Amino acid sequence: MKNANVATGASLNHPIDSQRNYHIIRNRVALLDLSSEGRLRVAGANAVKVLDRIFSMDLEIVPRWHGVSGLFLREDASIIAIATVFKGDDDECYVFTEAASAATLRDHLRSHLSTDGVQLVDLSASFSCLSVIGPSAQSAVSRTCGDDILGMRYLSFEFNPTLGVQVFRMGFCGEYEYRLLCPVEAAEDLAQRLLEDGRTLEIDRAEPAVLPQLMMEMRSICLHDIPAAANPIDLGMHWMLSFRKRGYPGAEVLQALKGKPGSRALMLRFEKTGIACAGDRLEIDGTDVGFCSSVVFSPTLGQDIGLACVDPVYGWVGVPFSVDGPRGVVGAVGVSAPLFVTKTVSSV
Amino acid sequence: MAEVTLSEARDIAARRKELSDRVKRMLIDRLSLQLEVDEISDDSPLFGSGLGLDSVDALEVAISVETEFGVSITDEDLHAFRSINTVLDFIEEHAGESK
Repeated sequence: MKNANVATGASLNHPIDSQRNYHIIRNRVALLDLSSEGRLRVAGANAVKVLDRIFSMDLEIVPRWHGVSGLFLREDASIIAIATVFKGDDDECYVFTEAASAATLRDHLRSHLSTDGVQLVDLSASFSCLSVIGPSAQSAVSRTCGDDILGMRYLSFEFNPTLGVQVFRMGFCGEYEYRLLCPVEAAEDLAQRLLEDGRTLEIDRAEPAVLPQLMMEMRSICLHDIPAAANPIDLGMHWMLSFRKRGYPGAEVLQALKGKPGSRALMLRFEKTGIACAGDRLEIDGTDVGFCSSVVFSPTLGQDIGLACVDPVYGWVGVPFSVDGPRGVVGAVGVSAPLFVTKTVSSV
Repeated sequence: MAEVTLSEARDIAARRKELSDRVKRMLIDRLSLQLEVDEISDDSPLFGSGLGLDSVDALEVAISVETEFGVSITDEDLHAFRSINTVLDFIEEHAGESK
């Protein structure tokens, strides 16, 4: 079945417009407005301790001006939000999460951070979030923010006195990424300055809608990639859990699950593009062994890739599957993540 | 499309699991990680977030893999060591090569 709007080399899972955004991020440097994503500030006496009680990673050991990615979980270990928490000075934390979980996380934190002296501020109305992503992002941002940012470690942040903004080094696409929190009224001027300063690096605006595709290539999961009630053990998100820390919601359930997961999340590469989609069943020799949770096109690989939830006996790299769905049947194989070495990584 | 029986698929998975457990036990032992085998997922990033290894640890990983599995690792090969699974891929591809 042909789609007249899909140009040669594209896929039903990846319209041609997205390829431009993708190319900018993977090969040069892009400026994105991430103001739709969640950003919260938690501050006050014991703010870190109170937040730490409901977070899956150990915030107490995170150095100041650094961050950690982890999870906010329900008691049954299902995921409320995937978040990155940065610890600043004087009992202050910044919490970032994707747009889909922003409101839920805010409400969750509000209900748990009602301790006297702990303030929760939703920054989305007052602060914009601009992101500079790509193998040339470090060079681009240093032109505007100064050479200090060259020394920033991944998952760290600092206040830039020149611009009066907080600069966070973070990101989940395998490329350099810097997020700048600035007052809403100053955002467009800052964006223009970043575009002007990065002109010789061919910086260009890109749309945030392309990010889940780049993230999937690195197996950085978004909420829409996973079944609603899935737990982090089945999803293979162990690096976002502190197994030595107890008491946070879901902790005891995770201890029980870790040795015997109900399923294994596995990255797949599909033999043909435009056929597999989320919800398709996985089979081996006519036996149902799982389903596709998320499918995207990878322009770098020229193939559809995806995340599947598989019977733990078979959910391993190298196992071939038959994927059966409304668009037909296609072969797939379990593969390792990240799916390739990005230009940022190879340049280090 | 490569078609296998359930039994063949089970064998492929079992071999991979055995290698995975062996590599994880090696890393836990050589790097003194405060983790158990079932607390490390196969796509766990080795560096940065994830296992949090640094460049010194990377060298230890390379030496350990070379010693344990009889493979040669160049500086360029190290770039491909991004997760447990990518280390396993390298071992499966090069195991048995002499130095």
